[in-house]
Order: sequence, then C-alpha cells, then structure tokens
Amino acid sequence: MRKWFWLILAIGWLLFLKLGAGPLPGLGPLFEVSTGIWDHHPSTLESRTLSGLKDKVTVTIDQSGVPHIFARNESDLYLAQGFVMAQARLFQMDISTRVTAGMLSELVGERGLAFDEFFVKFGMRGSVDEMWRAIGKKPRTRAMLEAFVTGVNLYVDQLQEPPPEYKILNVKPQRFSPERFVHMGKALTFNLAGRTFDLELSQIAGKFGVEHVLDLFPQYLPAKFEDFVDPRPHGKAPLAEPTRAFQTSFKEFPSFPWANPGQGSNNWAVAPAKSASGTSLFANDTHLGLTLPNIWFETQLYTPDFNAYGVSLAALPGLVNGFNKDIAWGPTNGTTDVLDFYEIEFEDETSARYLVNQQWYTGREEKQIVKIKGGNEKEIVVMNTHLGVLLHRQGKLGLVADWAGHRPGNELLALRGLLNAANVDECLLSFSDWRVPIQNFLCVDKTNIAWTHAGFVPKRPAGQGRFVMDGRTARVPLIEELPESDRPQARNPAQGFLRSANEKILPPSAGIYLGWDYEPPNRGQRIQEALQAKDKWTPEDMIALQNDVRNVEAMRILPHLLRLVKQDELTSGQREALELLRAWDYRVLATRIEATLYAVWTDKFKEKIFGDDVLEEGKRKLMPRDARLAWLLARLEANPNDPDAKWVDDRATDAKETLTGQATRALQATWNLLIERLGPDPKLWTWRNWQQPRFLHAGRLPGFGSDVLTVDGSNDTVSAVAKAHGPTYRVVVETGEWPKAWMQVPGGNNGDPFATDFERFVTDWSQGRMRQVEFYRDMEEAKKAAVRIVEFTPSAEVK
Amino acid sequence: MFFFGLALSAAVIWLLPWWALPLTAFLIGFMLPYKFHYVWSFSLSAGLAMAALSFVRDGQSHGLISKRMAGLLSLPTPTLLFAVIFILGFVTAALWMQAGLVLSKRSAKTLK
Repeated sequence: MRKWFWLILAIGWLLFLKLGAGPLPGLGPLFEVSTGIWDHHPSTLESRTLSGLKDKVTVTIDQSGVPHIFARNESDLYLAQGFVMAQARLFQMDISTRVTAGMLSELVGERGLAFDEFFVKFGMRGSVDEMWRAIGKKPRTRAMLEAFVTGVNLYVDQLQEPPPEYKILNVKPQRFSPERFVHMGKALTFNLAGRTFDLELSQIAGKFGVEHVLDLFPQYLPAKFEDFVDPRPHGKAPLAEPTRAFQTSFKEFPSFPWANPGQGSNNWAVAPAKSASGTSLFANDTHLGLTLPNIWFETQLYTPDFNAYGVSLAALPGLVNGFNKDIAWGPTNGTTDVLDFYEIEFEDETSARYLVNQQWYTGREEKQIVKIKGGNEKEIVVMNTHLGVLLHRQGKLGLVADWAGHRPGNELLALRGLLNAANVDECLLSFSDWRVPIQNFLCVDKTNIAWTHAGFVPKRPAGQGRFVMDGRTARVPLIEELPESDRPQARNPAQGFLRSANEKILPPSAGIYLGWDYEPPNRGQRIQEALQAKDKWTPEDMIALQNDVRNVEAMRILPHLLRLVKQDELTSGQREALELLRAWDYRVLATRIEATLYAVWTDKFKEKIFGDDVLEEGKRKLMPRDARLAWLLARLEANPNDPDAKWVDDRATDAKETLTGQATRALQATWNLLIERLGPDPKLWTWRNWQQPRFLHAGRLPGFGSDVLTVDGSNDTVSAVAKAHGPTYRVVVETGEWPKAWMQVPGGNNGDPFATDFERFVTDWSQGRMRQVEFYRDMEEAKKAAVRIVEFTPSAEVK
Repeated sequence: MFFFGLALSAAVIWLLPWWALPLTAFLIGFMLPYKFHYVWSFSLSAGLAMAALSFVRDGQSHGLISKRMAGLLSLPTPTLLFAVIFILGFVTAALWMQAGLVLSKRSAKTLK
C-alpha cells in the first residue's frame, strides 16, 4: 500500500506541475529551462516579404522606438501597420479585442466569465455583426480594416515564439477575424459612452422622490460652481427638469459597470493671437486606464496622399489623435448621455411577448455560447426587443437598455479623413461620419481653432434619460438626433482659446437639454483660469499647464471645513494636521500629506452629510458631487437656516446633528482611517502612499505592471492621475511652416514585458517630461535619422 | 551521489523537456538499492541544478523575467522565485525517485 501511495503522490505532483491549480499556471512547462518562460528572445522587426503587399513598404524606427511607415498606397500602409503593431502588441491586441466579444474566458478561464456574460447579454455580438454588415457597404472602411487584419494575421502566421503572456496562460495565438477589431472599437465606445446612473437614481427617487434627486444631483448649479465647454453667448430660457417621473416597479436592478472616476481627458487650443509664435497651439491628454503596454501605439503614417503622426489604439488602423503638416486634432470624452433604460411588461414570466402602446411585440431570442478555457461552455440567452436589449427580468417585468453605441457608425472613415485634412473646415467635415462615442474634438490649423461635440447627440426633452423610463408607452424612435443647426460647436471665439475637460457642454442659457451627469468642473475651470491669465502662450506653457496639480475644488471646500471644525474636540496631532491644511497651497503633491488629509476628510464629511440620503447599491454608493457639497457649504455659511440644512441631520439617529459636529466627527474618522490604513505616523500618509498610482498589465497579470509611482496630481487636477487612471498620452503641437510636437506615451511602443524598455518613459511621464517627436517630411529624412530600417516587399506571386 | 546527481540533472534539465527530470529520478530510484540518503542527495542536486540554470537564463533578461514572475506568484522578491524553483525541482525528484525505489523493492520481492 505504501508503495502505491508514493506512486500516486508522484503522479499527482506531476499533474499539478502540468496543469497548475486555480489561478496558478502549470509550473512544469512554465519553468522549463530550455523552452519555458526563461527562453525569451526579444521580437524585432526584420525585413521580409509580405504576401498581400502591392509595393515595397519602408519602416524606419527612431531612437524612441517609434515606427515611421512609408508606403506607396493606403492598402499597403494599413497592412504594414497591422504587421508592425502585432509585432509589438500581439497579446494586448488579442485580449482587448476579446472583451466585448465575450471571448475573454476562452483565454483566461472562469475569471473572464462575468465580463463575457455581461457583454454578450448587453448585445455586443449582435451590435458588431450589424456594424460589420454596415462596413461591408462602405468599401473604403472595409478595405482599411481588411488590410490591417491581413497584416496582423501575417504576423501571427510567421510567429515562432509567442509573447510570454501566452506561455503563462498556456494558449497559442490564433488568427484574428476583422470583427474582432470592430469589437475593439466597441470596447472603447462602451468605456467612454457606457456611463449611466439611471438605475441608482431611480432607486433613490423610489425611496425619497424625484425632487430629492433633483436637489442632490442637479442639472445645473450656480455659475460659480459650474463650467461649460461651449464659450458662445446664448440668450435662451433655461429648461427646467420635470419634478415628476415614471416610478419603476423593479425592486432590484442588475449591477451595471460604473465609469471609472478620473476617466476623461483635457484638450485646449490657443489661437494665433494668443500664441507667442503667431500660429495656433494645441494640447491634448487622454485619461484612461494606466496600463502596460499603453492603450496607445505611436506612429507616423506616410503615403503620397498624406503624412501624419500620432497615436492609434493598439488594435485599430490609422490614427485616433495626432497631427499632419497642416492640422492637429484630438478629443476629450463628450460624456453626453446616450444610454437609456426602459421597463417593459411581458405577457407572463417566461414569455417573449411584451405590450407597448396597446400592441403586442415579440422579443427576438438568440442563444449565444461563451467558450471557457479547458473546454467548458456557457449558454447565454440574448433577447432583443424593439426598445433595446433585455438585461434583466423580474416576474413579468423586463429591463431593457437602449444604447446609441449599438447603432452602426463609420468612425474609422472619420479618422481617415483627418489624415489628409488641410484645414479646420476639412477637419470638422470629417466628423460627419462620427457617431459614438460622442467626443469633444478640437481642430487647429495655422490660423484657426475649432471645437465640435462630434457624434450622435440626442435631442431630448429636459430630464429625459435620467431615470428608468416606462417602455409601455414608449414611441419609436426612442431618441432623435439633435439637428445640425443646434450642434454644439465653436470656431475662433473672441477669448482666443477653446478647451474641454469632460465638463458640461452647454450652459442653461442654450435652452437645450443634453443630460445632467458630466465630470466635475475642476479641471475645466483651472484650464480656463490659466488660459485667460496669460497673453502669449508657448509650447512650454502648454506642457506646464498639462502638469498643473492645483485642486480648484479644494479651494472651494476646505476653507469652510477649516472654519467649521471644533478645535477643542481634537487631539494635538489632529490640530497639527489642521495647521498643515491651513498653510496648504492646494497643490496635490505626491510626497506631502495635505492632499490625503483633504481627500479623506471630504469623503468622510460627504458621507456624514449625504450618506443617509442616498441608497447603497451593493458596495457602491452614488454620492452627490463635490461641487454640490461646495454649494451646500456656501449656502449654509451665508444662512444657517437655508433649506440645505435638511441634509445635515442624520436620519438614522435621534439626535439633531450640526454642521460643525459633522465636520469634526469627519476629521476624527479621517484620522482613524489613516491610522488603520497607513499606520500611526502621519509622515507616512503621503498622497503617493494613499493613492498608490501604478500601471497595471493590460491582461491584469500581477507583477507585469509598474511599481507604485511617485507622481503628483489627482482626479481633480489638470494632471489627472488617479490610482490606475491618468494621462495615457500627452501631446502639444505648435503649428507652423512645419509642425513641432512634444509627446509622452508612458510605456512606449514595445509590448514585451520582459524587454528593458517595457516601462519606457514611465519615469519621464511621472515627472511630467515630454520629448519632441520626430516628424519627417519624407522617407529619405527618416532614413537618415533611423536606428533601424526595415523593408517589406511584396511576395513574388502577388507582384 | 550528490555530484553525480548534479551533473545528471543539470544535463537533463538543460537539454530535455520538463518531464524528463521526474522520469530520470524514477529510473535512478528504480535501479539503485534503497538508501534514503540517495533520495536526499539526488533531490538536493536536482533542485539546485534547476534553480541555478534558471538563474543563468534569467541573467540574459537582466533579471526582468524573475521580477515579473515573482510578482505573478505573489512573491515579495525575485530571490524567492529561485527558492520556489529549487523546491519544485527538489520535490519532483524526491517524489519520483522515492516512487522508483519503492516500486523497485516491490518488483524484487515479486521476482523472489
């Protein structure tokens, strides 16, 4: 018996080494010395033949690792771009094109299942199929995408050694279908335009009433607490939201992903009159998830028809943000609400028939399969109704989502138009093909600056889309598009600049309702203030503003808190902390503790004031914005009997809470929390230690991201660095006879986690340093400066 | 036994697939007379060989591979990764050599 015991034990151990256990990969093959993880050869581009090319393509690599692709026609350009991008970013490309396709579990196993189930149920597969059919009718877009996919697959076909992530996951890279890349676009669209709080607000309204919601989450605050992208004067009457709304019968809602705080962007453009050089200046930084590799891939694209430089998503052809010799362009997220929810009523608990306007409709059910690594599958039933896709059922009730992101657009063609746009007019014209996600695009040429709120901007009556709506009486089309004449856009405003930072688009005097929920006004106000304050701007000024870390919101809230707190109820340490805050210059510095004290104190105070007035949704609680708190503090200081006093009392206690008491208790709670999280020594409570910003690996492999970084800034500052979100790309462009540009793409282009330059530029980025990019006039100039030159030639049979 | 084991396991680990180490340990165990210190010596040498060769390969990547893999396995330092690899090699060799030894003993008895 003892003998068999040892044999069985040895076999069990062998199986563990081969198969792994739980999240642990099979360590036997992984740590094999000859062919396992140690056997790593950095992938480099080599000159070679590529079937499908019509002509020779030259790629020069500059000292920053940026490829400059010179082709004689567009098809060859995108094919080469696909090959080059796959060489640098294959694993990232693979995982990012799986997210909305419901294919994550196939790669990473059960831990991807929740994502897969959500996106399949949300109708992403059908949405992409529809978009791909629409692209089929647009030959130019289709050709662009197909050439790119051909290039990617040529790289996969010749691959000898897969990137290390595949070894860890014990899978082999597969060829890509063009639809996978449409999914990449959908993933970013959902990330930017899937923002919604309708479900939470409906629940709060259900308990406390609509007026309660409108008070805590107002469409507009007084001007001092607001900021708007649109600089034009308007003279219309503001639209007031109705104080009554449909009351949903749902007791519970499904969880719906929330937009990540800190996700957004800044862009601004300075007109020639305000620029030291006398030509337009442009700045843009996109705040997305901080990942290694970076979401962006930097490149120069050259054909006889255009010469452009910028960044593309690491799974899409062309450029998303960039510049050419005549113009520069770049977006911030428009944030305008394009996701609505309807409650419908089915015939019975299992039926697909539902009643709308006294007429029966039948939902179209489809069975979708999600494959799970290891051979298992999960069947998911997707139901499409004419009002949207069914997300949830409760008895006879159904919750459907109508998302403009499901409507096919032609965004790739819009981006293609930018590559050879010669002026602001042509730049703006390109966006007529843009639908979602709605973006605030700025365009500049040498003498003009312009802004457009590009995309499918819904035309809504005031308040529409704030709560779950009644599908029983819904009319199709559910939402119409705002007429072109009302589209928010501006050109060469008198103030001499344009800027956006995900804040509200239109002021109340525009008389148009676009939605209520935008990012806080802080970044926009700070940029406005800085741009107004200086007459002649230089690129260095633009870079400095991108790195600005002054917290405007803290300037509004903290003085109130400092006046309110009762010193005699505090310990000596707490009083010393107050002294630090009194002397604070409102800059969010990584190595100081003031920002930590302020951020935690404000959160705790907000919790004490509003915590009993909102509902808890799982572990997340939708709280009023900081600007609403600032307004409350201003009102109550001016008049303690202001109606806002009602929020101060805690419904859960018999006692009558006061503002000073709440501020004091919030500070004490802050102190206790910081001791619990960071230890008793306040010197350790630095912003860096509290926030711990870092780049995560694109596939969320532990250890494959960056270390914790010492970097200034927060969600509320122009340099918007949050825990795992921040400026993933910064650019400043000075137009002129030949444009000059300064850029930062932390992580660089190399996606190999075992390469020494995988974390390239991360330190520069954390210190706010930019590098001037090499934008070449032609191939000869590029060749002279290249550290490596690669030639792709057509294979003989094609030639 | 230790130096013989070190040379043999290093050659096996360097030249053959990962499953060759347990196979070799099993065969040695099967062939050798049952002595506990044989198991101990060979397993120790196999663990050391595996950790040392991994360390050499890691040097070619400037230590980046061990840094990332240590993070992946939630180890606080890359050095501990080599300790883990040592343990993997040690346990693999020990279990399979022990299995070979006890089976060999059983076979001998059966033959008698």
